[in-house]
Amino acid sequence: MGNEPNNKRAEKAKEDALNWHVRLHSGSASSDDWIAFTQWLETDTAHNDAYDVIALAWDDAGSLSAIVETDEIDTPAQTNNIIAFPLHRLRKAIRARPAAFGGGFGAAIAATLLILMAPVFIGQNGTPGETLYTTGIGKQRTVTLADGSTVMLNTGTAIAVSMDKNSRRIELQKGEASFTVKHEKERSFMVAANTLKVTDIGTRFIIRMDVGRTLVSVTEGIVEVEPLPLENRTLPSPLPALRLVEGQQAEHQFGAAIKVQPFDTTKVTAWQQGLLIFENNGLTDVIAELNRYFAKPINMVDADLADLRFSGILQITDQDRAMRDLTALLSLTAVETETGIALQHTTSDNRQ
Amino acid sequence: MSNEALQTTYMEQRANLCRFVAARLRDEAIAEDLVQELWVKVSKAKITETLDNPVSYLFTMAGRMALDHIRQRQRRVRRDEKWTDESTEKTGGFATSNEEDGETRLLRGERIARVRAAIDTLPPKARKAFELHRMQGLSHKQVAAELGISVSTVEKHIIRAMRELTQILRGADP
Repeated sequence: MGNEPNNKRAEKAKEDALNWHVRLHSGSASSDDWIAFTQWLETDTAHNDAYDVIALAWDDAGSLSAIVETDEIDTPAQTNNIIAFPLHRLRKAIRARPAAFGGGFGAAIAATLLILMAPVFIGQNGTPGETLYTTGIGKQRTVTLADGSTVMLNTGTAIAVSMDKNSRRIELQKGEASFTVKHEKERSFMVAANTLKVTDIGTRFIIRMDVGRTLVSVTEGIVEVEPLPLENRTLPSPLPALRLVEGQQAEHQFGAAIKVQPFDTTKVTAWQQGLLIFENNGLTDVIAELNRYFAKPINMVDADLADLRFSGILQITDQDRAMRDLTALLSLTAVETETGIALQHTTSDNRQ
Repeated sequence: MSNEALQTTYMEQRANLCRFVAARLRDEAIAEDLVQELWVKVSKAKITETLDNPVSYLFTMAGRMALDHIRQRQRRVRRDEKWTDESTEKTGGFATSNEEDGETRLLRGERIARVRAAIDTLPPKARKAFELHRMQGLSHKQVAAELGISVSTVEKHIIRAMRELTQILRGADP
């Protein structure tokens, strides 16, 4: 360990190194600044050592994701489904529930966190990485991005966000998300989803990805939609962009042309209120929709159930409640099995 | 900015870049090599965006390459220390960045977790300013415009954030 004057010298070096670093990375450093900095480094080896620490901290910070604000609907017990979860909130959750989780929980979460944070290391070498936001089945969350835009993620959704000073790019990797975009003249806001690229012109829209289909619904403002080649996604689109206005929806079935159609805003945005609205929908579709939200998949036991049609509002926040409502309205019976929930006709055998 | 313009800046700054890297590495020959390597990167780089500050861009790249080299050197020193079974710490304050074996990968994870925790405990405004600057690549001026505060306040926030980060990482040293 060093003596007193040495410590003082090291303290001064640290402070100077910090000020140098901040000035040089402000965005307005000139070559004179860099030369003066070089001279400062040359003056004393302690300067260079002090700067090492700063440079490493800066580098580490660059490999982190920027999590600005999150607002989750998840119950705390399920928070480990979330990849980009801020540490301080995690701590709060743990502190608030010592009895429920026991001592091992904190350590388990800490371990999970390290592993789950791994994806953000990808964008290393100083380039700011992508930030991944995900939701598990039955979960929703709202994320505020660094530019002030917000994204509400529906069940089973993943988005990768990368922003720099010239662009704002989001890839919807799966699921469904509602975007409320803060318009910027300089940086366009682009979302790639499957086969479509959506460019915002200051607006609110929802994108949903299903197997073989992408849906873009505009609830406010205007967006541009263009097909995106699945292979080489950097290639420009061969077709002109379509312009969608409020109340319009683009539907792209893979291999077909993009269809533009009107849509029912209340129905399309109902998930944001924790609801699903059906109007004379086939039971097959209703079940497929419910299965996006529920961990226990619903199966039709009796094949002729597929002919039934259903109208009504179901809650997606509570599977038991949704099943009670659905079976009551259709006079069916739901039986819990090992693999999920079996939906069948009500007979004298299974009537309770 | 076209690639050509960046190459011109490189030619103008080449000697300064060499001197800067040499000061970081205390080794002129390696500095010369690294700055040459930088030329290859610059000529291959696809610059689609406009570079506001090509000089800083080049120095930042050179600094990053120097840092990578310093990290590698630390790794070698650590390996050698293992062999000679000397546990004296001659690597300064950053013996934690060896990424080659599992043990040190964990240390890296630990560092990152500490950085995350340090950022999360910053006052909200300092945190926002730092995230916009470091993670989103905005300049101090852009951050100031974005948050509606003065450039000098942004600078204060960034200094504060970096001070916390370096302090917490010093604590991470074995």
